[in-house]
Amino acid sequence: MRKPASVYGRAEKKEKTSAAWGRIHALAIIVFFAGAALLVRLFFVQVVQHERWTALAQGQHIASAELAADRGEVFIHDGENRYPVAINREYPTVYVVPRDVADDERLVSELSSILGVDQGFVREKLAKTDDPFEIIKKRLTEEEAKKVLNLEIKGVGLLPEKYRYYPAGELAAHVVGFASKEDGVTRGRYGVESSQNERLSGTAGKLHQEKDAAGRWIPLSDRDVIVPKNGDDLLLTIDRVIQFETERVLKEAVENHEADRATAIVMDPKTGAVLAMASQPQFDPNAYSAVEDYSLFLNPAVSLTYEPGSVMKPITMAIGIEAGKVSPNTEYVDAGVVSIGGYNIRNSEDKVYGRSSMYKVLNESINTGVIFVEQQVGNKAFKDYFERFGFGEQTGIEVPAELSGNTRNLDNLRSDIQYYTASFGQGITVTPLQLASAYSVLANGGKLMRPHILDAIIRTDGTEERIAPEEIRRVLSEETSKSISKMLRDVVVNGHGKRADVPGYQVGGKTGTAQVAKSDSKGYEDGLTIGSFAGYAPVDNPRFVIVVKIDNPKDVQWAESTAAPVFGRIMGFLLEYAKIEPTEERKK
Amino acid sequence: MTCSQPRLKLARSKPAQADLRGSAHVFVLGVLLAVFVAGGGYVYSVNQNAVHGYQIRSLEKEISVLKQENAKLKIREADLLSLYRIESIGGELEMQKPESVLYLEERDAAVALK
Repeated sequence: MRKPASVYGRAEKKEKTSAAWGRIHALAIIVFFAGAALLVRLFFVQVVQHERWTALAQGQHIASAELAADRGEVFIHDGENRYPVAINREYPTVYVVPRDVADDERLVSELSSILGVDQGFVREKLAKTDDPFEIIKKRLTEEEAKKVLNLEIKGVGLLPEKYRYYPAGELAAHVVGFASKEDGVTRGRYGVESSQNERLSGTAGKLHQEKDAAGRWIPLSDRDVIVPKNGDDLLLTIDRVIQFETERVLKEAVENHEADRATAIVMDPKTGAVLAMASQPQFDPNAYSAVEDYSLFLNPAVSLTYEPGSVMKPITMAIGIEAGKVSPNTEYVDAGVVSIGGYNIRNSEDKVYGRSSMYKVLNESINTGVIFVEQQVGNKAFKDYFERFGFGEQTGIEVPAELSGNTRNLDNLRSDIQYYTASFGQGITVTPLQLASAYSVLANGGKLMRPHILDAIIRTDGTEERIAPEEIRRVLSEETSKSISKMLRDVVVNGHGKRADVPGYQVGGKTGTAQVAKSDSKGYEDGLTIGSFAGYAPVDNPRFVIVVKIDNPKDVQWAESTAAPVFGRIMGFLLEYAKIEPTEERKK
Repeated sequence: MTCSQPRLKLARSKPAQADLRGSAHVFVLGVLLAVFVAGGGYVYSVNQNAVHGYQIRSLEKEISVLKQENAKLKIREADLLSLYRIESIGGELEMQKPESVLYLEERDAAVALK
């Protein structure tokens, strides 16, 4: 009997189903192994090599940029206000996008005419069609920038860039120095710009942000920002008006005497604050690249040493009085020469003064007189006091390249001749700042104050840190200070310092006309002198110490005709500027 | 068996049914309205935020421009106050430095009368 068709269909179906399941199983096995292989691969990529691929992805997706910090600015005192001497100023840079420029020749002609650049140079920039950004000129003036904007040519743009600017020009150039840009980074090269570079620079920030495949920043994506910390501002102790007047008087003196160089320092003896530090010749820090002789950038007040000559005699005298070996009225007999070790040390112009007091020793600037004082003190004690005055070591002022001077000739305690010559300022070298600091000791009651040029640090959060005056050590007693001050007053009234006097005021000081040592051999240059005057006023309550140094004047040799009058003019100005009332009747 | 027995009227009456449907409609309308108002309020709020955001951005730009102008003016002020520049102008104007200065004492009384 035939089975029904449905039975035959079911069996067929069963066979077919079984075959299908077999294929499915086979496929499942293939898929399983493929999936397993994929999972293993994923495991390696995502787990084992996770860091590598993450870093690669970040490199592709994350863009980083450094955020430049603003350089701190430098100010000096201007009465109750502050005047900026080093600031940041934006100058436009003109650039072209070569592929966007339609009419090359028109642009070449316009830009070279406005900016004063060579047409060939502009053409060369425009020829780089693959480059999206080519700089044509930096630091445009306002007028040039306006003309470029008025061109309204596609493919030309202006980019603001910050540069250092010195609005006071030459004023205090040696103190402030200058900063220049190198590889996009502004760095101080000389002066306070250099010594305080780290403080002024601040700390750059960073920006990390996602970018798209085309390298463009994605504005709404997450960003990681480290805010830049701008540099601190600095307030110097320099007074703008005192600095200007000092520079002006010094410049006139250099011109009148055809001197090689001149330096003047004005200091507050009670605090060590430097109110003016001027040197001629000067330079304009806005045009430092125009200077050919780089030695011009060095600050002669701290970076040049010299044998000071007779301005050292009051120091020797103060040592003698402090050591109790002489008093202002001590007398000795001058024979005009002191012989030692085959050498003869004579007075200036071979003068002989006979019986002389210590007043006369300073008034007449008698070499043998200070040798007498040194002999009474003794070499070791003299050397100790000399060093206590700060000679032979840096003062620590906040300007770069400060020299310590040379007192090595005093290392041999048995070499009397070195001590004799040192007593009148020859055979040893000092900087003008060390002299000013030493005279401040004479003026302020005997304390060695640290000279400083930084008055305050103004932080970005607005807080100010004032730099307090620092007493290094006591060198003399108050009585010695008073005694020497009287003697210095006598030098100005009765000695070689008359032209340093200011009518109506008690001014004290000392001249020094020193020979210049030969640079390539022993001995001194013929005809070359350095004239100095160091002093202070008012003698009973000193407000200002001034040191003036004139290098190689051509018309007159003696400091009483070169440095002393300069001192007198500056001191006269200062006493009026500070509204100090005269204490004596003004006599012509 | 026939279906002649009357059906028990377990369902609500027609008016009641209508009431229920009406309440449901009101409820739904109310919800829709609330959603609409809330949505509208949300859109308004977002729009206001965007508008304020643009205003803030615009003001920030203005502040930035004013800061730049201020910086330029400070530089200009410093340039004008440069003593070397003033001295040079004094020379061009042929101004004379005073030879001597006479100081007047301050008094409580008038210093100069007609």
